[in-house]
Amino acid sequence: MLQVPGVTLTGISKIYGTRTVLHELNLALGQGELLCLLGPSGCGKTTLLRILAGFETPNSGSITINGVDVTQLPPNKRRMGMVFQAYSLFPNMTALQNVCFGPRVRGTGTRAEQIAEGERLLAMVGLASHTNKFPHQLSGGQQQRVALARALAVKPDILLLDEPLSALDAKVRTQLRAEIRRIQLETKITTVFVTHDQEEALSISDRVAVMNEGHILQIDAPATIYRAPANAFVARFIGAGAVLRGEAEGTGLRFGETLLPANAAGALPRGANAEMFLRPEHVTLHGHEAPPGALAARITELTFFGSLTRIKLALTAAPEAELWADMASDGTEGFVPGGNVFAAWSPDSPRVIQLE
Amino acid sequence: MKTQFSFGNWAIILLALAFFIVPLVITGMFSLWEGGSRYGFSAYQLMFSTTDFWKSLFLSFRLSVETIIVTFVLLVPAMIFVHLKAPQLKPLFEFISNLPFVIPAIALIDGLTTLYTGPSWLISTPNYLVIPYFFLALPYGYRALEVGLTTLDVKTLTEAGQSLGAGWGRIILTVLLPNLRSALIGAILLIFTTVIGEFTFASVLLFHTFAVFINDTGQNAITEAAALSLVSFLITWVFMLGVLFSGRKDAGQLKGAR
Amino acid sequence: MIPWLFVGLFLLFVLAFLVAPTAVLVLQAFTGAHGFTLSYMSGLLSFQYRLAFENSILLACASAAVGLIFGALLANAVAAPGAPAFLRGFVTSFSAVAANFSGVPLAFAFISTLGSLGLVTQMLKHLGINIYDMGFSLYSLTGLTITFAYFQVPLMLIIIVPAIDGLRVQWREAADGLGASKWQYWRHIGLPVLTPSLLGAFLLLFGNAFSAFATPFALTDGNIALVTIDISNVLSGNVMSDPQVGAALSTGMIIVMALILVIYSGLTRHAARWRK
Repeated sequence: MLQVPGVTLTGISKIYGTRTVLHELNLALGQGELLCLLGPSGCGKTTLLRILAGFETPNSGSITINGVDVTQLPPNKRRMGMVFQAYSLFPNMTALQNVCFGPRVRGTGTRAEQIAEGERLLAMVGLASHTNKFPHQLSGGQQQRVALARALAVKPDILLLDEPLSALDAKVRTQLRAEIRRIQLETKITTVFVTHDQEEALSISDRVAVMNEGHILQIDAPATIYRAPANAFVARFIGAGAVLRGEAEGTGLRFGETLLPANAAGALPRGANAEMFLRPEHVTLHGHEAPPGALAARITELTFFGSLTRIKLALTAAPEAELWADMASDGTEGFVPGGNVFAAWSPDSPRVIQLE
Repeated sequence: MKTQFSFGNWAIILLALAFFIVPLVITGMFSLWEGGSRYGFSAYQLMFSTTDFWKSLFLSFRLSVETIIVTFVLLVPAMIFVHLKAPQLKPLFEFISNLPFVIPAIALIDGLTTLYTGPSWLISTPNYLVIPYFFLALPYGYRALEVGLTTLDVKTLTEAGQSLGAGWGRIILTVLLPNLRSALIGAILLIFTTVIGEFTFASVLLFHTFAVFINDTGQNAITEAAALSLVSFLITWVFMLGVLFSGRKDAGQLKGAR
Repeated sequence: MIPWLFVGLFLLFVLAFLVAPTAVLVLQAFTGAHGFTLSYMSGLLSFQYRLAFENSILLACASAAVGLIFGALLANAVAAPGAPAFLRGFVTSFSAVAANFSGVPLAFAFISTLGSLGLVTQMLKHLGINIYDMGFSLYSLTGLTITFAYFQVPLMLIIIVPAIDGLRVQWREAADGLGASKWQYWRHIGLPVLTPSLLGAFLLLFGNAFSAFATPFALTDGNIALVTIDISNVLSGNVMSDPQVGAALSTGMIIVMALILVIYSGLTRHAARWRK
């Protein structure tokens, strides 16, 4: 029988008392893929990960790893490596002892082999000179690297990471997530990464699964999720942008008296209630010479982000319509709160989704 | 994670239950014996009508309250300030809190009687007992407060209070003590039970505390002694539950403050 | 200024009523009619007093061991994640009371249960098991150890339950995920992390049993040689001895406890070297 590589979850449900935390989820990961489970607090992503790990049992559904049904297996029999958010290193062991723990209890190889492999893994995560330190002597970022090495030491079929970077400083977070991705690509290990930080998810994944209230709303490559969100929640959750409600009318969205250019509206029945999403990078601002189709607007706020500045606008003809535009900070002289400008965008840029 | 309560755990609990409850039940049975094959509450009636019973009980109760007060005045502020201003003194306090173990009760009494022969207003009243009682309860009180102070971020709360203009007294009374409630209640619990059950100091110094009264009665009348033993155990337990339940309401608060 | 006042007051109190009396006592143990003498201290090595020390130390070790093991097992059951909710409150309050249940009430309770005419003794006799014929006696060191368990086990519970609570659930889950069995978790992580607390508990239990007076006094009427009982005999004048004998016995106890404390410190430093 052919071994189906990767991980498959079918019909997974989880109910706590009267609350349904996961609604019959289906998920399939390819071998060597890095999938992010992304969503707000309480969406069920950690529960799903823990079910995959075996720390929780689903009320219904099954899990298959490399063709083997593991739904009934306890955690210490599944071949998985887990990195927790914090506090998971054994405090009474050095970094090396922590990493060697898995092989040691499983009895893989001789003691010398275990130690050599442990040192190799610690070197891979950049901690070659810290092998004999105890956890309290290591920084948060270093502790998580040890946790990663420890999880890899048992040569797992899948690697599970439960918000491993959430407890760390911003700079450390950015460095460490790139490292995790690098190691994952090197070892080609199938990985599930839980996070609530969309920047994290978009930057390192092969695919992202956006979750909310126990449902998976969309699973796609990061670029697709960003450019083509499947519904209103995903569009709002990922990236920044304007969200405007109106009626679809052929070439645009009718917002009060104004028609906002949007070719995507043509696919919807005329007059249907719809929401339009417009990303800030697609909006250009002009001081005097307005290109055809540009709309008059007034600047309400400028937020400086370093290399770019995000400008909040209210359309003159429809002041309740709020838009954002991103500009390189160097080009923003003359743009002040209260100033009048013209805002333009390509009609192909906005995404329009029909409301139920 | 598996959450079933294993068979082994149940076995241990049942064994413990048997070991701890059986002697109490048997004492209870004895306390109802009236000679021959008559059973009744006469021992209890006799006990409750003896003035010495009430006198000694109130004395012990009063002494425990005094010990609690002395602990609050002497130990609590000292510990708070050590946490805030003098963390280098912590090892000293730890050492002191272990001293009552190194110096057995009977030895301390020996030393106290040798060293202090007066003034009589102190030595000859039962209040003198508060001094050794303070030390008896010290290890437990210190530990309970230490746990409470370390989990509470004393420094940050104090600085917040000071930045808003509060003085020391107000900060301790309105900010720190309320948040230490569960630790303080734990300390009160332990001091109370320690004092009520204490026998050595009181008997050597010839004061008639509750434990001494029980011992004296026990020499003569077994049925009364049995009744007394049971009553002393139950009184303490009821008081304990009362204090615990009043404390539990606030335990949730402490968790929420994190 | 004020903070130091409170700290100073506390230290003064400790000095006056704990340190000073002890110092006086120790001094007295070395002071004879003509000044410094070792005769009282060396008197401790006489057969009678050496037996008392041996008995007291043996009793303390045995009852500490019993308290440690049974208390730890019980604490593990109470602190387990699947334990019924009311159990903890019940056990906590009961333990606080039982840990101080001593002296005549405790002695009486056990005499009526396991004494030569005790109810349980009689019941076992009915079943054909005569424990007194088999060599058991409540009025022996064994009997005392069993009686002491009534307050030693609760004391152990009070100490160790918070320490067990301190074992982070992530450690257990991480160990599980890495393939460890329940025993491997306890052997490599659980027990090593708990060891400093277990050592501290043993120290407390030992000291508690070693300095116990009321219970052995009530139970054996002074028939078993124990140091605390010997001291009280001197203090109350039951024995024709110089007060220095009592002082010497007390000093002997202090030396034993101080030695135990030193051993405990050394062991803990080793067991907790992975700590902050």
